[in-house]
Amino acid sequence: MKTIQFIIILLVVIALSSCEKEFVTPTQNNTPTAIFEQTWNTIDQKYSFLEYKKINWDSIGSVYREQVSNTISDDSLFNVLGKMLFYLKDGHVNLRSNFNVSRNWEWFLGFPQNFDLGLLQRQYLADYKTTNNLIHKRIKDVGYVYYKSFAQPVSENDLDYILDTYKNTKGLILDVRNNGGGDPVNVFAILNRLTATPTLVGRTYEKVGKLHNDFSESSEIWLTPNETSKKYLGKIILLTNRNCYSATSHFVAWARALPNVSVIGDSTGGGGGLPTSIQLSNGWILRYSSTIGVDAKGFNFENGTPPDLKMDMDKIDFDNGKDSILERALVSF
Amino acid sequence: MKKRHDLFNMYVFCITVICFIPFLSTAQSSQRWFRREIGVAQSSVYDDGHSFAKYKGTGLQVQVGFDRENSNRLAQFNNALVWTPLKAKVEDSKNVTSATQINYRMSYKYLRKIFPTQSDKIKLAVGAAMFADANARIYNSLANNVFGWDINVGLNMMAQATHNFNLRRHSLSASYQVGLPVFTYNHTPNYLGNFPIATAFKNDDAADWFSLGRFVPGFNDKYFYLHQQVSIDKNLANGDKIRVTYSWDYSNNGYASHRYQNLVTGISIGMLSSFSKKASTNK
Repeated sequence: MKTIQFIIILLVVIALSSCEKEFVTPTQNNTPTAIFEQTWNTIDQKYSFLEYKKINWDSIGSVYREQVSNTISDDSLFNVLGKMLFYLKDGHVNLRSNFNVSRNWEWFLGFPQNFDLGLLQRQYLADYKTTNNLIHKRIKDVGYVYYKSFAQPVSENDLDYILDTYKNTKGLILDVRNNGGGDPVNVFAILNRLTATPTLVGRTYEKVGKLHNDFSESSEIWLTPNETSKKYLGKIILLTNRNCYSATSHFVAWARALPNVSVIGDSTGGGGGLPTSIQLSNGWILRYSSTIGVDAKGFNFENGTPPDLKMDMDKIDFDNGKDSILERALVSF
Repeated sequence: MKKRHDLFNMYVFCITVICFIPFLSTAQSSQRWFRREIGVAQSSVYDDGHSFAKYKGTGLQVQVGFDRENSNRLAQFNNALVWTPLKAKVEDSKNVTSATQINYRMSYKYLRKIFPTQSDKIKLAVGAAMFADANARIYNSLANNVFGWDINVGLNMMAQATHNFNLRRHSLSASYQVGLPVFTYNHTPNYLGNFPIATAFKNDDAADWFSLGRFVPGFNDKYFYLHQQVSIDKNLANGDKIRVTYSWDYSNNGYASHRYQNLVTGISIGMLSSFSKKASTNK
């Protein structure tokens, strides 16, 4: 009798452990048509720029939905989804599988490069200094700083050293050409050294509902400089090209709110929405923009922040070993 | 917002204070134990705010607490920490991604015995549990997504059935415990399943984390939590106990526009050390 009681208890335990599949049930299937719908619906409900870019997502979905069946191969399904996502014209939109990554890089491929690191190194940056991830040198009594990627950290000590080094110059050039973005923390680290007063530099809106225009109230973005930290309050020129993307576009858009900053070069590449991602049933990762960013004047910089002075690199200058954009900046002080 | 924040802080404080009061009691008739258990746990998660694939994995759990019992009532203060590495359940093994889940459960259960004199039959007890349950998952493959989380603080109604028996001259006790929510404050990510936007831009004034929470009365088709536990105790002559526990905690939350389901099951073994002032009478 006692043994039976013990067995009953064990059976209860086993019964409880065997019902995992009944209790945790995915709401989505794993068929190619289901994967297509997951992709289409995620963009339809969560992507932040459908209305701004005037994209008829229903129509695009209808065209590509017809190309998907449950017998389609993974490779073909990926290609169909990649083509559909291409219409979003967004560098923050990617579909990633174990065999490919979809992308649309028209935001910089269709424009002049306007930057050549080799030219800079040969003609301007002999005996330059490297302070962690910042390359810098005094050129014609102007401080020149090249920052390759906002993904590379910039410390307070780095900035202290550079601002000390160039505190008595006519001005400062921050070259962020070809900087594809990274961590907003580094954006704030630098910008907070370029102003002495709290400054509203932009706003951001978060997608909060399924409709294309369902956004949160705006969140204000402020620079909040530390009173005691070293600052550069003289004239500053940012050099930009179309390869400035994401965090770099934010950096440029927000910097333009500062009265001592101007921008020379090409428009940035854009990427004004923060990217986030979701995993599809088959394990592929879909990345998409989930917010809208605007500058202090309300300008949406998803397609790029225009410069104050639009300039392309001149081929004759280039052949003569000159960086036209940098040269123009140097004579602006 | 500040008022709501204060209310929440007061609520947490009250729960903490109430949890400890019974263990400070000097009632001579009660038995008290310090309990620690260690074991394995299996988690199965589906959160379509982050992934349309189910994640599953086996990890470790640790439980620490106090138990108290007298002729009329049972009280149990429990802290459980479960760590589970998870893998996505997808067909193509090349697309398998990983995640990590950390689950912390704190509860204070207080149950009154029904018909306390029936010693050799199944003994029933009913009562309530104040609990806090926090669940966080980090998906390694997702860009910019802050961890997924689900936090619950509230009141459960509880029932327990206990049966004492002997098996091959060993004094054993088996109990089954079940709990359902009466009132909960639930906090889970918003529409995007990532974060309040202000946190990305260090604009703390706008980081309205409480906008992601809601009070939930009982349970409904959007919100269902169920706690079950089976314990088998081997009663030792000195009043200590060896305990094997099978726990089953299920969450199903459809608030915040995405569906979150989580089943954490675990088996643990541990020791209950008696620290009653009086010799044990539990045989």
